[in-house]
Amino acid sequence: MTNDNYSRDKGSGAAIPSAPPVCLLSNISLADRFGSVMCRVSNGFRMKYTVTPGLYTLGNPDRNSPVLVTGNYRLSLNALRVSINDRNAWILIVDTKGINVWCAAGKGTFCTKEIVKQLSACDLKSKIAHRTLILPQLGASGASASKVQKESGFSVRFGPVRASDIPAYLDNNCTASPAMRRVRFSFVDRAKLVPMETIPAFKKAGLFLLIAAVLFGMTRNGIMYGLALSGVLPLVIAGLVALFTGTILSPLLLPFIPGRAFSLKGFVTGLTGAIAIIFLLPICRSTPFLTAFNLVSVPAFSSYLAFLFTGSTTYTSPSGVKAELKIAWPLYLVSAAVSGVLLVLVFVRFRGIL
Amino acid sequence: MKHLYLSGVSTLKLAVEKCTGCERCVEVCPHGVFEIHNHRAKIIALDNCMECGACAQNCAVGALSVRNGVGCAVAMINGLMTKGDPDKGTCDCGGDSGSCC
Ligand code: SF4
Ligand code: SF4
Repeated sequence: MTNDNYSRDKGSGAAIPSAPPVCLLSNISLADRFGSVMCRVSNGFRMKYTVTPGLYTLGNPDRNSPVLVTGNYRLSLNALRVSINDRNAWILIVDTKGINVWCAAGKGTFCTKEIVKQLSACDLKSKIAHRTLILPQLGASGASASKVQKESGFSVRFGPVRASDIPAYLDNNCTASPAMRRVRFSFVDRAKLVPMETIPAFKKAGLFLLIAAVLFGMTRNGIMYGLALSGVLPLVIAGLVALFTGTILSPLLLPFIPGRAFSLKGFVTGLTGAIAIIFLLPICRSTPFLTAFNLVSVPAFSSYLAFLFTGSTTYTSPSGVKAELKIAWPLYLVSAAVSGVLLVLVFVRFRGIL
Repeated sequence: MKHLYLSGVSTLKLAVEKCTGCERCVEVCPHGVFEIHNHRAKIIALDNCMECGACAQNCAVGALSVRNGVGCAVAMINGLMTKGDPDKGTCDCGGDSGSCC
C-alpha cells in the first residue's frame, strides 16, 4: 500500500545508511480519507496500511527542528501530518509491522531496539544539531527513555497522547498538560470500533442460523422452506438482538450501563433485549421453551460479546479481565449447555414430537 | 463520563524508598495514576491503572513494578481454550477479532 506521497524507492530503503529523507505532503487526499474508513471495517486492509520505515521530513526541517518518532501505521501518520501541517519537523518512522504505536508497544514491536536501529540506519545525528527525540507517550510501554539514551545518546521526551495536541505541546516548550497525557474513550472513539466487533460476530452467527434453518426445515421430502423460515425466525430475532446489545449497544453506551465488568454490562443490555422481544413479539414466546431459551441465551451471548470488547478499550487491565474471566467463563459454559438443551426442546416442540 | 473498570485488581507496586522523584512515571502514565508529593512519586488513583507497564518500563531506578499486559478477553479466552491458561493466549489482531491488543 504505497502511494506517491510515501514511496521511497526500494533500493534506498532504511537499511542503507544516510538514505535521503523523503518529503511528506501535508494535505490529506481523498485516498487517505478512503483509507481511514477502510481501516475501520476491514482487518485485511488495516494490516497492510503501512509506510516504509525511515526518516521523513515535514515542511523544511533544519538542524534544530524537533524529531518526532512514530510507527509505520499509515493512519497514525496521517493524523500526525494533519495536525502539524504548518510545522517543520523530522519524522522518524520505526517498523511496527503496520500496527499503531500503542498496540505495537504492548506487543513489543515499538521498542528501544527498533528506535536505536532506525536512528543509526538513517544517520540522524549527522542531520541535526540537537540530541532530543520526541516519542509518542503511548509508546512508553514498549520503549524505555533511559535505555534509548544509553544506547543512542538521544534524550527522550514523551509527546502528548493525541497527535492533535502536538502543536500546543511544541509551543509549550515540549511539555504536555495533564489533560494531554490522559487517554480518553469517547462515544466517537467507541463508535469507530463497533464495525470490527459486529462484522465478525455476524458472520459466525449467520453460519449457525443457516444450520438451524436446515434442521428446522428438514422433512422426509427434503427441506421445506416455509417450515425452515418459521422455525428459525425466532432464533434469528434472538441472535440479532444479542448481537445488537452485545456489539453495538454495550460499546456505545459503555459508561452509562450499570456495572463495571464488561460481562455484566453485556448481560444487562442482553437481558433488557430479551425481555423486550418476549413482550413485543408473540413469535418469541410461542412456547415456554422458546421464552426460556431467549431469557438464557440472549443475555449470555450478549455478555460474551461485550466481554470481547475489553480488547478494544483504552482502560481495561489484564488483571481485571482475568478476574472477569474467572467468574464469567463457567457461567458461559453453563448457559451454553442450558441454551443447547432448550434449543433441542424448542425444536422438538416445533416439529410436533412433544 | 469517566470510565471505571474493576477496582482492587491492579498489580502496580511502588517502592517509594527507591524513587528519585524524576517525574517520568507522571509523564508516561495515560491514566493519571501518579502525582509527585514531596519529591517522591505517589499512587493517587490505583484503580485507574490498566497495567500497560509504561511506568515500570521507564522508571530508571526500578522503583515501579507491574504485571503488565493487555486487558483483552479474546487473548485470554484463546489462552484458556488452547493452553488451559489465560496468560498464555495471544489475540489474533490480524485475524477477525478486530481488537487492537
Ligand atoms: S519514574 Fe520512578 S524514580 Fe521517577 S518519579 Fe516515578 S517512581 Fe520515582
Ligand atoms: S501500568 Fe500504565 S496505567 Fe498503570 S500506572 Fe503504570 S503507566 Fe499508569
